Amino acid sequence: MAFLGARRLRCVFAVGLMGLAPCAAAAAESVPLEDTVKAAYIYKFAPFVTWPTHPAAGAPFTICSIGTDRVSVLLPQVTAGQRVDERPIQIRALAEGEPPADCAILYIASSVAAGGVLDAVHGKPILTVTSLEGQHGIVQLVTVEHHVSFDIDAKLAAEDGLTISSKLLGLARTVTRPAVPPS
Amino acid sequence: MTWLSFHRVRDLPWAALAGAVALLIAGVFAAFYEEQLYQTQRAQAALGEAQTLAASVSAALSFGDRNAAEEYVRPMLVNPGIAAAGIYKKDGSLLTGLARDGGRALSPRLSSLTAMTNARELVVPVVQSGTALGWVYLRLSPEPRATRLSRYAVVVLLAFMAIFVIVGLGNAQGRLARQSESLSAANARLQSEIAERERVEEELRQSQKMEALGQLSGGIAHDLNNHLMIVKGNLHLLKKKLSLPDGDRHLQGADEGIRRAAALTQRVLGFSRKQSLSPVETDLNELVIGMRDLIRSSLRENIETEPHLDARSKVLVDRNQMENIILNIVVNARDALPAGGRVAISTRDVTLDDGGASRGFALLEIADTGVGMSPEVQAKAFDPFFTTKPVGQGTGLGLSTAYGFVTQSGGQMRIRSAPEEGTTISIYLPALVSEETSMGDRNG
Repeated sequence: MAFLGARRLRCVFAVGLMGLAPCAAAAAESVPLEDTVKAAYIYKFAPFVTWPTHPAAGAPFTICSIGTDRVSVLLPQVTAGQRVDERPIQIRALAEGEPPADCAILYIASSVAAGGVLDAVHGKPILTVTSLEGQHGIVQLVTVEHHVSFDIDAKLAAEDGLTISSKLLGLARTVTRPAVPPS
Repeated sequence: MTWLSFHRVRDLPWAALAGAVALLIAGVFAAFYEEQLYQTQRAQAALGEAQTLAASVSAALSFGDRNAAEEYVRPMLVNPGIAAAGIYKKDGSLLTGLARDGGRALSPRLSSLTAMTNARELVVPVVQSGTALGWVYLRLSPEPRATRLSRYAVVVLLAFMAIFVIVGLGNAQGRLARQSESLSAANARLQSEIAERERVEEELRQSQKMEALGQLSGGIAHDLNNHLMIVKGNLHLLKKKLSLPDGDRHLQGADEGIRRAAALTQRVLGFSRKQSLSPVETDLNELVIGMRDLIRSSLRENIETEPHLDARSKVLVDRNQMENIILNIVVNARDALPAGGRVAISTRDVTLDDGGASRGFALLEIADTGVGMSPEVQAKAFDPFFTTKPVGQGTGLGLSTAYGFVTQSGGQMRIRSAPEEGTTISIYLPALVSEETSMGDRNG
């Protein structure tokens, strides 16, 4: 089967929320659907990313957030009951300056200046996700014509020791490739 | 097997029929096995495709990208064996899917959230790094009947060809067997006819030989007898006229010689069937019983004799000659039993084919358990002057005289013998059809 090379994501919000029906109805009235979809995407990246270290058996899959925005607020709701590789998902809100120990994914909310945080975790095997234009996490959530999509900096991921599945790269709007592809 | 007539089937050897049935059954099993194998392979191939689709569509499914997912689904339908393919989310709701034109549309929800495979459809989970993301559903196209039949066609064709060959061979074999049987029967008939013909020819030759010998020896004996009578008469005249010393003694010697010569000529005449006989109505049983002491005294003590006298018919024979012949044969039997044995004398009534008409005969048989005769000896047994006895002990005229007598009496004489298996002499004499006997037959 041909690999899908198109770096676009034309999924409409409603489609992205099919697995989140219970909370989507409630969220739809108070928060934009766009933020709910973004919150759901964060844990959905997990199966397509390989971390260099293997967590202990039964340990929760930890998603950390730093700062506060609508997406970070929705995170506990959308991940409730979901599992990654049979592991329950744990959401941890970090205080500014708190080291991101045990965090597999770190969401940097739009309220925080991402640069400092990104510098602090650079080199650590943490998938950084940002949603504010120009923040440049490894995954940058974007909204294009009412569609949520994402850009991936595979170069940065490789520097942090993460491997991102080509299936995910195939869905990304843009991909920044490493200069020398990791062998 | 309607192409086979009942007659053909009935004549078919069982082995061939069983072989044909076995082949047919084997063909059915082969077709069944082939079908199972094909279905398994088809299911495995479909499973492989479903797993490939599940692996490639995981990201599109996870992020709900319907268009991207559909682009993965579309190439599945290139395979004509797949009727529909669907991508379902983890909760069983349809994300996207395609069904072949004219086919049943995909269900908006999976009926069961478990992996399954059967001949018509299959469901495989979409899992990425141990995380379950949803399901891939494939519906297989029903196989066209023509395709399925074409798959069986070779097996069926082979089975039918094999059956035709077996039936054909079986029929041919059956026909050959029947022909062989009839040929064997015809051959056996021919052999028997040849043997009968040879026997008759042999009898004819023997009879002609006897006839010729009889005429020759009879003529000589007759003339010789006349000449002997002349010599005898003249000797008697000479005896009256001469009175020479010792003359009587010489004349007596000459007379004795003439008597012996005359006796010999009588026996030769007997063989040549030119002797004068005095046939009278005779009961063979009584004749044998009357000879009992004579027979017993002729045999040694180590020879048993047992009479079975069952004949009811009477015959017309010269009794004295008949007695001589019986005695002669009994003596022959004794000589054939140097170490003792048994001589059976029996009589019974038989019917023989006499020139195309059935005729009653009284049969007298004298059977010994002696040394028997070789076929060569047997062929010459009735020849005059033929004997197997040492010189001076047999004249070779016993059986030949008997033969001449029996023939002259309208009967037949036969020998049955084999080396070490004894000899049976059979004398057939025409049964006398007296008024009394006829009445007895009617009453009996």
